[in-house]
Formats: sequence, C-alpha cells, structure tokens
Amino acid sequence: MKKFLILLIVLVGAIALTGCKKNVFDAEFEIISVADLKAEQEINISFRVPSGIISTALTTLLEDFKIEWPNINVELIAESGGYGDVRKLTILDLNNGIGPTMVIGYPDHFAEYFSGNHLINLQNFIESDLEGVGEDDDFVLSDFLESYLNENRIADEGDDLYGLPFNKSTEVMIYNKTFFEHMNYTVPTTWDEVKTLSKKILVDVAAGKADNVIVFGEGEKKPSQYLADGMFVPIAYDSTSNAIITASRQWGGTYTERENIEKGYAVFNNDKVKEALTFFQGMANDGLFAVAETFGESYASNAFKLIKCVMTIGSSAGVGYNVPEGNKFQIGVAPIPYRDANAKYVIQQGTNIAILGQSTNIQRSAAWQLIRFLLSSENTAKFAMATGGYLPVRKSSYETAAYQDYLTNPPVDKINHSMSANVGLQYRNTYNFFVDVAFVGSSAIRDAVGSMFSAIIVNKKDITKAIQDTLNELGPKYQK
Amino acid sequence: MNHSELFLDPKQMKVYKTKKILFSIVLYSFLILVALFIIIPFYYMLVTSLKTVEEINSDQFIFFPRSWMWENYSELFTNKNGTITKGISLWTMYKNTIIVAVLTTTGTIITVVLSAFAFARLNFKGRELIFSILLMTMMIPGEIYVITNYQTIGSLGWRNTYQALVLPFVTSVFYTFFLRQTFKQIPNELYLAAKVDGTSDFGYLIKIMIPIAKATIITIIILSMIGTWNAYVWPSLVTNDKSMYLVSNGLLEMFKGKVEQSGPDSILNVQMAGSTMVTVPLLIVFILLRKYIMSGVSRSGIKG
Amino acid sequence: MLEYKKDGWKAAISLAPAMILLAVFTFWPILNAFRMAFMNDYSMSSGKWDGIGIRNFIYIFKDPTFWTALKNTCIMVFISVPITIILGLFIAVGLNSIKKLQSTFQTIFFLPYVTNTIALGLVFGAMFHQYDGFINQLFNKNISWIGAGASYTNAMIVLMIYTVWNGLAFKIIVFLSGLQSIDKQYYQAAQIDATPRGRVFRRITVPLLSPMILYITITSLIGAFKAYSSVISIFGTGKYGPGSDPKLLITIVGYVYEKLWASGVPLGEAAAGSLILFAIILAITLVQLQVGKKRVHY
Repeated sequence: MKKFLILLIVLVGAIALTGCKKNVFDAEFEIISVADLKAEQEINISFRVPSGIISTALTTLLEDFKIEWPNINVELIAESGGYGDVRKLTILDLNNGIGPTMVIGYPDHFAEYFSGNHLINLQNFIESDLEGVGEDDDFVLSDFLESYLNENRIADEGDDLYGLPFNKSTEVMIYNKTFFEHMNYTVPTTWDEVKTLSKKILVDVAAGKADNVIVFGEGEKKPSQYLADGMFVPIAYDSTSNAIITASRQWGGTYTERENIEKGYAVFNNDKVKEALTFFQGMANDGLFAVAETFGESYASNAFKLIKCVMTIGSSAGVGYNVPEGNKFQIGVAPIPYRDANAKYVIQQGTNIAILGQSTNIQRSAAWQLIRFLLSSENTAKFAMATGGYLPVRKSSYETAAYQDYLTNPPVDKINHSMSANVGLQYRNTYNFFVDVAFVGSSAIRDAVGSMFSAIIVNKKDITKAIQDTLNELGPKYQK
Repeated sequence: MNHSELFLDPKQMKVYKTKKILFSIVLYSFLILVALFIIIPFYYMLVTSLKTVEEINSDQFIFFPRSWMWENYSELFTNKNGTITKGISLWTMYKNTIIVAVLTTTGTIITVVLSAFAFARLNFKGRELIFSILLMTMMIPGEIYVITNYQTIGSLGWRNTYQALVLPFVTSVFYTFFLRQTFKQIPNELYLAAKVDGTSDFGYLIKIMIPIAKATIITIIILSMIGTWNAYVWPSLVTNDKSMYLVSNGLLEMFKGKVEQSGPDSILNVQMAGSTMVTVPLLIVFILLRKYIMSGVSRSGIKG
Repeated sequence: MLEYKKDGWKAAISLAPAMILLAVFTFWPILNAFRMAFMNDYSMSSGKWDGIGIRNFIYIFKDPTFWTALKNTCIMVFISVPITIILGLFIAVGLNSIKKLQSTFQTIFFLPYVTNTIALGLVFGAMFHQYDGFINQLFNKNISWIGAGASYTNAMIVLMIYTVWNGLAFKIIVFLSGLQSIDKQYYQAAQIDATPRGRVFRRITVPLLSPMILYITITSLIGAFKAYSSVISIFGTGKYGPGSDPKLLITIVGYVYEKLWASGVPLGEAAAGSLILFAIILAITLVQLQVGKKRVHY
C-alpha cells in the first residue's frame, strides 16, 4: 500500500510538472534594432488568424515580406472556426504559458488579453528613436483614422496603443438595383423615407407590378406570391445586434458604459432606445421591416437573393453574399439610412492586430517589423482590395493609384466590393463612425441585445418587458 | 395448456376465450403503435434524404419521393452545391471515429481487465478502501472533469490530436466494476487447481479468467464502441480542425449556419442524408451483432 | 493460507495504467474543480482571482439564466423520466406476454439505443420544422415548434418527445430481462387463483421487479439531469433555442459549458456550476435510495 501510494504521488507529480512546461519568453521588454534583427540567423514567429479570405490575402502579402526579411519565418495559424476560435484558442494558450506571437481580434478579445497582461505595449515601438522602428515616413501615426486608433487605447490611463487597426468594415445598405430601376424608385436616405418607400413597395408588389422585374424560372416564386404567403418584407437588417446598437446611437440613447477595461455596464434601459425600438417594431408590425429570423433564415442575404426583400443592411465586407445565383439581378450599395442629419451614425467594426507577451524580445521586434510592413500605405490598400469590402485603415491608402483605380474602375469580379468601398469612403466625409466600446463582457451584452431585438421584431414582444428581461438575463455583473 | 381452462363450462370458456382474443388485439395494437412511434423518425430521415427540394417544400407531406435523389448523398462527398461548410469530409469523420473507437476500446480493455483482476483476484492492503473510493467517483458527473481536462489538454499542447480524444476515456470505473463482478463469480477451486499446476497469477488471468469472462468483455467492447460513435462534447472541445472531427461534432459542423433555411434554399434533404450516413453504420453493426449487443446491454443493466 | 498472500507489487502493476489515467483525468480534475470553484472571480483570460470565497456560487445563484436552466432541467427530468419508465414497464410487460414477433418488436424498440444522439436530434428538429417538417405537413398546420417565434411549451414538447423516444430502449430491455428472470411459479400460483391481470401486475410483477425499477430510476434521473446533446442537436445550431431566444431551453450542463466560452472565460463559475450539478444529483440519488429502502423488495 505504501509503495502504491508513493507510485501514485510520483505519477501525479510528474503530470503536474509536464503541465508546467512553459514557453521561453522574456519577462523584460527590450526593443531589438533593425541591424541586430537582420543579423539573426533565423527568427520564428507565429500569427493566428481566421481562415478564409483573410488568411488567403495574408499568405500573398507574406510572400512579399519574405523578400524583405528572408530570415523571419512567419507561421500563419489559420483557424477554421473564425474569430471565435482565434479567441478561444489564444486564451487557452496564453493561460498555459504559450501563445502565438501575434494575433488579430475584436476589441473585446483584446480586453480579455489585456486583463491577463498579455498585450505588448506598442507605444514603446512607436516612440522609439531607433531607425526603422519608430514613426517615420513609412509609418505615420496620424495617417490612421483617429477613431480606429482610439479603440486600441485600452489602458484606463494614458494614450498608449496596445494594438493597431488591421481590418475594418462598416455597414452598408444593399438594394436590388434591377428592382429599383424597374419600379422607378429612389434609394431612401433616411428611416422615414424607408418607411414611406416600403409602404409603397408593399402596395406595388401586391398589385403584381414586381412580378416581371426579372425572368422567374419554373417553380420560383414571384414577389406577389411571397407577399401572399407573408414572406415578403421590403427591408431587412442582417445583424440584429448592430441594428439596435446603431439605432440607439441615431436616436440619441445610451447603450453601454465602460468603467474600465474589465468592467462595463448595460445602460440601454432609457427612453430614447425605447423610442427607436417602438419605431422599428411599428414598421415590423406593418410588414415593412424584418430581420433574418422573420424569414426563417440565418442570414437576411438568403432572403434578399430570392427577392423576399429588396433592401438589406449588412456588413460592407459581406456584399458578395447578396449576389443572386446566376446574377439574376444587379445589386446596388448605398449608405445606411439615418434618422436625423445631426446624428448620422454608422458603426465601425473589425479587428485590430497585437503582439502577445508569450514571446522573446527578438520575436516581438520581428513581429513589429511585420506589422509595419502590413500596415504600410501600399499594403493596406492591397489587403483591402484582396479582402473585398474591408476598408483601408490608412488615409493615404485611398490615394494610391491602385486603390483609386479600384474605386473608380474596378475589374468585373470586384464591382460590388468596389461599390461598398466607395460608400465607406463616403462615410468618412458625411457620416460619423462610432465604435461599440469594448470591455470584458461587451460581447455578451451585444449578443443579448441582438436576441432582444429579434424577439421584439419577430415575436412582437413588449418592449419594456423585453428590455427588463434582457437586463435580468445579463445578470448582476452588468448592472450599474 | 392453461390449467384454469379445465375448470370452466363451455359458456364461460367462450367468454374467457373472447376476452383473451380482445386482450391480444389490444396488446398487439399497443405494441404496433409504439413500434410506429419508434420507427417514424427513421422513416422520415430516409424519405427526406431522397427528396428533391420541391418535394420538401410541398404543403402536404409526401410519403414517397417520386424519384430517389441519390444526388443528395453524393452531395455529402462532392459538395457540388456548396452545402457543406468548410470542406468537412465525411470519410475523415468515419476514419477518425473508427481510429478513436479502436484505440479507446483497446486501451479500455487492457486497463479494465488488469484492474478488475487486481480487485477480484489479488490481495493487497487497502483493496476494499481503494475500490470504494473508485465507486464513489462513478457518481460524479463527467461535466466536472471536462473543465480541467480541457485545460490539461491545452497545456500539453494536445489539441487536435488522437491522444486527447482517446486518453481521458481509456479507463472506466463502471466497466471495472462490471468486470470485477464477473471475475468474482469464477469459483475459487479453479484458481487453486491452476496454482497446483504451477500457473502464475497473470497466467491464470490470461488462460482462465479472460476466456470465462468473454461475454462481459465483449459487452464492454460493444458499449465502448457505441460510446465513441456517440461522443460529442469532448471532441468538440478539444478539436477544431476539420481533419480531426468525429461523426457527431462533424455532423453539426457540416451544416452550421444553413440549418434554418427553408423554401428553395432548404438543405433538409442533404442534412437528412448526413444523419443517415452517421446512423446507418452503427445500425448495420447492430443488425449483425444483434444478440450480443442486446444481451450485453441488459446484463450490464442488471448487474448494476 | 493463500487468502493472505501479499500481492502488493502485482497489484501495483495491474492497477498502474488505470491509476495513472484516473489520476490525471479524474482525481486531479475533481480536486481542481473544488479548488477553482472557491477562487473568487477566477477567469482564464486574466489568470487572476480575488481571494478564496464563495463569490462564484453567489454569482450563480443570483443569475437568472441559472434558474432558467434549473427550471428547464427539472421540467424535463420530472416529466420525461416517469413517463419513460412507466411506458417502458408497460411495453416490457406487453412484450413479455406475447410469443409471436417478440424478438422483432424487441429489436425495433432497441433501435434508438444504437443510433447517434446528434444525428437523430437533427432528424427531430427537421420533423418539427415549421414549413418543411413532417408534423406540420401531415396535419396541415403552420405551428412554429422550434423555429422563430416558437413558444416555450412547443419547444419543450419537442424536446420531451425526443427524450422519451431516446430513453425507452434501455429501460425496455432491462425490464424485459428482469421480467424473464422472475420465477414462473409466482405467475402459475396466481393463475390457479384466477387473479385478474391488474392485480398480478401490481402485487407480483412490480414488487419483484422493484430492484430493477429503482436502479433504472436512479440512472435515468441522473442521466436526465445531464441533458445537453439532445437540446443542442434539436435546434441544430448548437444553441438551446431559436435565434430570438437562444437560451430558451438551456439546461444546467449547458449553463456550465457556456461559461467556457463566455467573456473572460470564468472558470471559477464553471467549476462552481458543475459542483452544484453534482450536489443536486447526489441529493436526488440519496433520496431515491431512502425511498428504495422502504419500497424495494429483494
């Protein structure tokens, strides 16, 4: 028995030790100069991203990087589960003392990494005097859109940047251009115009005027038939979370309040938000406004393609999903409707890039060089064009010849994304970008209000009750 | 022949016989209804998997599809219409599940046989105490382990590996208990006789105990295999790479994001084809090994 | 005497493989769960916690989602388990009374046991689809069972039906073999007295079967409290409800697992939740055993 127990203890101990196998990393931060970096034999860094269009675009850019820096090997870890998996796996890795050198993610992911002290303070690099490291002609901080930079000022005090903008998108309104031209409609710009137009659309569709807008195949339902089945609604909003978050901005209400990076509150229980929700619920009750779930779909684009709706508000990066099979009709891209000319707010979304602390100083400085490369004016433009409706994060990118060409004279396969990018440019001058402020838990609130909006629109849930129920469900953590 | 029938006069006998027939009719009707209840989902799964999208959208339920759309099945493998997300491959799912099932079951048999042997046949200090502690762990829900094991696998860097899928399940207190019961029923005389012949303890295990306990061991093998085939939570926690999906989590991942589609975009037929392909292999095994499986399961229930 | 031989080393070797694995994947996790549950606000993303205490438990008890999960799980357990057991018992008795086709029926009834829970959950979800499903098309209705706007009752009915469907197989087979092992003498004696069938059932069958019924009841309750895969497979999206209410039918296990992906990854709360689940199961089992002492005849 004694021998047995000893054996057991030794084994458990051995297991515990292996569990403590940690990565080699440098506790003290130090910048390595460009000359020293180039002198290194081989540097290995890893970069975790979601698989798909982003990893594909990055792979191409990395080939160019290799030419400039032959001794840096960048391992691109592409996760098939999207940003969700990127976050899950990075948290798990960091918790176990390992981790990729670099990662991209949403602001609330960064809030989580920051809370564990895993983010490298990039301000050190930016303000460095060393050549090729700090701000210079290639890397001008003021060239980045200020709103993008602000997202990355995560610490409660000071303006230090813990990340840099990487991959930004916004929301746009996609409309059925063929339909609009056929029926002689003007694209609405305000929510009131949307309401008026939608009423007109319902009348016209019921009268069968839309049934020959395209050539319908055998077995394909026409708009009037969908309307008769209760399946036709003029406008749909894809992201229920964005719908309510943007609306609360446009109507002048509050949504969340951040105390510090680890704590924030849900404060959407106010009159302005209720006013906005009443407006949308009213439209929904009249059959004018829908969300994806109204059609029984996961995405509004599915309904749009079947002409069950003719206007949809979705991500600027996702316009391609609205193109119907066989190009049965043309799409157009316009700015999202606003309520009041003084409150032309549109959401700014997307990811940022950061360097993680489970790394050596050499790896960190090498990663910084990769960031400088990826965020150069030219490469930002290249990346934006390769990934479609994502917007370049630097103002000067818009001026490059390649991007100007893309905006004004895009190749056939990029027409839709180019339209989307043009709207993005339009926003810079005429709308206000706002961010869904990030803190640990902000995404839980975002998901909750998304469901709430769905319930209000689809189930016609009482607004006051819906708000109260959602606040209750979020729990005491998010109440002031 | 029923004894009571000898005691009745013809009229009572008629009443009795009628009652008996009525009872039979009621009984058989009841059983047939239950059988229908059990079979309908299978029927629906098969029939829907062979329908065209129009037949699925029809307002009235179509009991037999006009032509059998085997394309729905080939779609699972070729993904011509882009129904399957992320290039997940059914073959890979099968392969992984079989590999994990075989590895887990082999490991389980080895550890369980050895431990049951120790608890049933060997004498050592604290035997009963340790066994009682093990029994108590049977009560503890697996959900408690999952959290820590998730961390452990991460720290060992074993995500997306076979060992992560296999090792946590290689030993089972339940099977050990089950086999120990069987071992305990082997009469002591056999052991003494073997000792007289000069057989070592381990020799006794291999030559006598295992053959006698064959039925139980086969039951354990079957139950373990079924368990792997049905595993969902753990595989979805420790794998996210499509090359490592098992059949359960792979099936859910295959259609992620497309589930709610209805109308002409519906992929219900392909989904049902997917469910069929995941269900059928085990069903075939069941039909072939029916007697073993059913008697094994019932015995494992009774021994408890 | 042979009985007192010392097999220390042999035992150590035989038990080693099992013990190592159990140590890593069972004992250590149990200890760790207890440890983490009392680390206030322990989160995986920050790696920090705020002292030792019961704050995690308090947070859970203040969380309305936990109570929803508890409610859902209890409804499922206390309705589906009795239904399944009673139904299973009747079916087994019925099966036992027929000779023709007995094995055919037995095989059919056993099918759900050897089918994949997730795959069949998807089938049930499809069967109850609002527009393209079997039930609605058969009865020409447009009820939303599990889709947009589904009511709680409707969704719970679907879940209940699936749970019963899935659970019958094991019970039928255990009861049947239990019935078959009852000594025929009891029944013959009843026949001689011309005892009505109902009486035979209540006074002979059930008492003789009671150990089995107790075992089935305990394991079914425990299994039902751990419901999770059935829910997420019915809704098909890995969530516990339609898009407008993805936590509609969340269960206790679901509640615990959600913490693994929640903002901040609150492992302390997850561990606390799993301990609460354990406590509930333990309590129910102890109650069952007490009841068993009085009612069960051996």
